[in-house]
Amino acid sequence: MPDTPPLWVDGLTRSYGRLVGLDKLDLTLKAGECVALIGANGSGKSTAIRTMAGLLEPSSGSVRICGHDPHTEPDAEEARAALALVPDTPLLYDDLTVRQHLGLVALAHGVLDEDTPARIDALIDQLGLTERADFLPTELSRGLRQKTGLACALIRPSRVLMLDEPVVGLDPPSQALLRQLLLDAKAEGKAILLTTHQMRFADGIADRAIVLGDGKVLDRGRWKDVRGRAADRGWLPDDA
Amino acid sequence: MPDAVASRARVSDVRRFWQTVLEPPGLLRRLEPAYYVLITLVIAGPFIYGTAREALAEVATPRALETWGPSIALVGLLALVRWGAVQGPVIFSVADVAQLLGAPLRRAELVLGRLVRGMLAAAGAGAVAGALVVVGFAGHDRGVAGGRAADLIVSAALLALLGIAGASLVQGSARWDRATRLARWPVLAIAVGLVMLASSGPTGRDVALWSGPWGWAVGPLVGRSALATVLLAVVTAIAVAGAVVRRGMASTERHLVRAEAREGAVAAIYSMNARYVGRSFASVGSRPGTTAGRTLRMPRTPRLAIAWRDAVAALNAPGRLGEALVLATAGCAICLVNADHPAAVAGGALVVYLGASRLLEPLRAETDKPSRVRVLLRKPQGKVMAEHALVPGAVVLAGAVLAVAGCAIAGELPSHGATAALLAVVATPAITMCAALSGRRGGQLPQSVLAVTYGDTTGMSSLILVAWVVAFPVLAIAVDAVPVSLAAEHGTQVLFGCLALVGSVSVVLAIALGWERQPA
Repeated sequence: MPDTPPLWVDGLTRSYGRLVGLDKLDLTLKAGECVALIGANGSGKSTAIRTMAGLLEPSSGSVRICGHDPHTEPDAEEARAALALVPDTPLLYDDLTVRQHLGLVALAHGVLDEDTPARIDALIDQLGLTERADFLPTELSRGLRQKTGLACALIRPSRVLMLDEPVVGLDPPSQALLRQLLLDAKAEGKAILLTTHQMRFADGIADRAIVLGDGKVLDRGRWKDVRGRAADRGWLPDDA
Repeated sequence: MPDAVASRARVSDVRRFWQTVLEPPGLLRRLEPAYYVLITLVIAGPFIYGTAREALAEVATPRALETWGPSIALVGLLALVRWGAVQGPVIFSVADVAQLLGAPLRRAELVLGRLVRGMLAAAGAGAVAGALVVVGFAGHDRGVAGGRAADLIVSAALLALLGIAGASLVQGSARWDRATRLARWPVLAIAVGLVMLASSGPTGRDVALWSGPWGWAVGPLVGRSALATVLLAVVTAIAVAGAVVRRGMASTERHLVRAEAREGAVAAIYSMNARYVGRSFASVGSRPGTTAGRTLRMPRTPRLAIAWRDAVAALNAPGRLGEALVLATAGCAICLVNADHPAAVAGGALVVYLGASRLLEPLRAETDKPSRVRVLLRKPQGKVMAEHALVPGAVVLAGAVLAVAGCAIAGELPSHGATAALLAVVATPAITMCAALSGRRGGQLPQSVLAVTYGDTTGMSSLILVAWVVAFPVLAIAVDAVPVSLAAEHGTQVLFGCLALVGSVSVVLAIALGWERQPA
């Protein structure tokens, strides 16, 4: 389906009982495009990205990843094949090393072949994890675990990359590296959705932005325009 | 970065990966648990068997099985099915949810092995439970034919299988979850009805034994036809087929909340914190923000601040409030209807105690974060704790009054009923304070208690630990059961003595509850 957008979201709503975590979000993400979801703590960014990724069930509305519903089996299988998610807290096995994690992810996504070890080594090297490649997650710092989670998302094939607060726990050089990796992914035609409350990080990466507050869309549009308005209206400090 | 086009991964490949990465233990290592079980059985087996046989022979009598068997089986079945609302047979870790459930692997295939293992474990546990019933049933030289014993063991295994199949459906579907949650109280009412029916005579017993899978499971041991086992097998097969067909349909979110709850519970077990174990599992079913947001007009005097806060908490959890009221009413009614059976009176008192415990969540919250008391409330810690017992005490008291009125209208009060009823009502504040004192201690064994047990070689330490855990429930039972039983036997002769006893205990408990303790 060549015309199918990588991510299509229509009226997506997620409630926690009386509390509306996300209210009627519409979004279409094109290949090679990056959209930033910005907002203060509790604005609904993580709820949005987790619901779109299939980790949370929507209360109403629809999500399609490359035309497939991530919430309904077995169609969700196709959606998962096209999606790579970097959660805000890396979810790793205590008994697998960094290298073994990447091997497992490559295998589970059907891309394990004779080139895989070399690709894993290259990615580990690129992310500065070479020294710790054979360490367990319990032996890693928060930032290195975050990098491992990122590596798990990058080793697998995907058309949509979702990152929930990817810079939390990363030092400035690692943030710069992540920025470059995301620009490379955009150039490869991946659609990127990221949440952040650090607007400076999204500068130069994001093409469009959506500002969330209390689960509602407060503003949306081109990144530069939204960034200015968000700062003017005090939705976020100019750069937190 | 690899291409977006990839061959489809298979679950069997992932399984092989795990076997390669985490080398499976050798044959001898695998046989180790079996060796320990075997050696334990050889050494302690005859003793355990003899003790179990003697103890169970008192309980698992033919009459008791006919009367109580279907009800107990029904409640057990409900508990097993509801296990799916908390965990269920298909278990994934949080990392599994991210790495395996997030991968394009066929869910049905991923889940099948776990589901089968869960079913086998349940069937095995059911068979063991059935075997224990047979052991008791055959005690006191009653004996039991091999065929009937085998039938009962198979029936128990089938019932457990039925329960776990139900748990699998509940785990995978919000609709099943809601339906079984709503069915809890009706099922418990049916269980009570089955006991009454089975006690009423041979026809009632027959109706109870043929009333459903819970009755069919007991049928073989009390001489009913093999048709019961066949019916049970058919129903179980249908339920298992349903669970297998619907496997893998559970949303990722349902697996994730269960995985997070289990991780929390395991961490709480390692720190020996019983309260957080329960709280972790309870988080699976909790829906933040689902309370109706009911509120009460704030009191004008600060003296009622804590009671107001507890009343708002109770109104915001109407289910819990209802459960507390029902438990208090039912417990008090059990005490009064069976006042000449001390064991039943004790059981009733325990039910009242559980009713009081249901409403003490705000008190537990203060205990868990004493600094909150210091920052938000100006009152001393002890006074705050004592005031937290007011609303639960009022609810339990209302339940007791309702029970007395109900028993009086139904003509079920015991001999010397007015005296027994008065004492049952008067004892409720003491029972509530026992629950509050138990809740105030937190869910963790304190270091001072643990310190007593260090280095102990006499075996007394385990008794101390048990005594610490059960102290307040036992005191609550005693403060209710002793006066009510005495009053039912001796009437007004013991009224003043019993009132003095209950009053003194209540005063001591109130002082203990209000004892000021400096927040940590």
